[in-house]
Amino acid sequence: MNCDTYLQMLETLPVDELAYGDAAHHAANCRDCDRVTRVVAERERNMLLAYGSITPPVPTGPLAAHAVELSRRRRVAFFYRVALCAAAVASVLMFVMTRRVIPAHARSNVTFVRLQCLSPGQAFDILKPSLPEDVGISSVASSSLLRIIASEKEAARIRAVLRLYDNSEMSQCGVATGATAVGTPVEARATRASRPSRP
Amino acid sequence: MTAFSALLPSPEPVARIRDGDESAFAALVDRYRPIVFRWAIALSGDEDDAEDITQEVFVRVHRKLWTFRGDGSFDAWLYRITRRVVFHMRPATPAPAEGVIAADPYVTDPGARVDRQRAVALIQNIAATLPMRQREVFVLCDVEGRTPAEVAKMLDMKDVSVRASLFKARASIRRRILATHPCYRESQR
Repeated sequence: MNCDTYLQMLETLPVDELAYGDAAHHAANCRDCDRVTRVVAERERNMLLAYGSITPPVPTGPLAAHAVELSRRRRVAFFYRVALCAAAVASVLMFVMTRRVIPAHARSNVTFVRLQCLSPGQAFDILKPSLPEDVGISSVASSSLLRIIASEKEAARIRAVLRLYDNSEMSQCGVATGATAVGTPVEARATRASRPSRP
Repeated sequence: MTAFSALLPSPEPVARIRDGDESAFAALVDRYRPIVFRWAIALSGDEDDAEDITQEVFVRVHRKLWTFRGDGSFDAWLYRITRRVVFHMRPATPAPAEGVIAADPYVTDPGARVDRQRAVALIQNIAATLPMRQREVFVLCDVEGRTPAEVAKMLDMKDVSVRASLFKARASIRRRILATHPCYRESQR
């Protein structure tokens, strides 16, 4: 074994492992290798002593007490956090539920139809069989106006039906003109309240 | 080298601590406080940070003790917590403190008396010299006397990787000493 081989071994192996065999024989015969090995061993021993001598400055009692106290506080904080998160989720859900998007075709509009020949009661009787539940119809007091609360599509259908009957050919024109509205208004369930003007 | 693992106490009365026994927890802190503090210094390279890390480690130990199943060693579990806290508090490798590198901490002390300042400087020097992984392996294997297999389990690494890191770490640390050998520089060329 020459110095190069010995140094390569010393570079990566524990010093104890060089105390046997060829390495030990070489170190015994080479002053430089022996010196370097001793220095490495001594410094590593010092390093161990140094490492073992490091002690934390904070004594055990306060450290343990503080750790327990902090741990308890964090546990409480954790429960608060969970509760807050649950409340936040509930709020978001409520918000989403109350702001459901109503499709444009389903939105209700208020439209007025002026009756020419039919009375509001007659118009209601005509429309009644085909009225969906979410459509509201009421008459405007002392006029021949019919207030319709329905989606645009439904309002158009109602107007078309009324056009069929609200003419002189199909009804006795003038009978209901200017008459006060009669008939039972239909309340829409899912639309804004439409109060009947007259029971 | 002194087998530091042999100095570690027997398994802790974890069940008592889980039941809220504060004196048992204080006993655990008393046993593991120096070890955790040394790990913290070795990993963070800063004494002040090491105090905070030690404190935080025991807070987490108290909170998470119920997760310790007991099928592995307690100090391995503790080391993983320490490591996590260090990475959480000091994600980057610390810059070497000024003056620490300049002073050679390997200087022989004939009386084997190593004062605290020198000891801390020595560990800081290791921290500044080696990358994190090599530092961990070096401290656990060569300084604390654990086997590479134990360290591999603690660090969740392969045995071979631990040995490779250990060789690199030793080479980095010994290079300065070996440089005083007349043949060394030539062999390095």
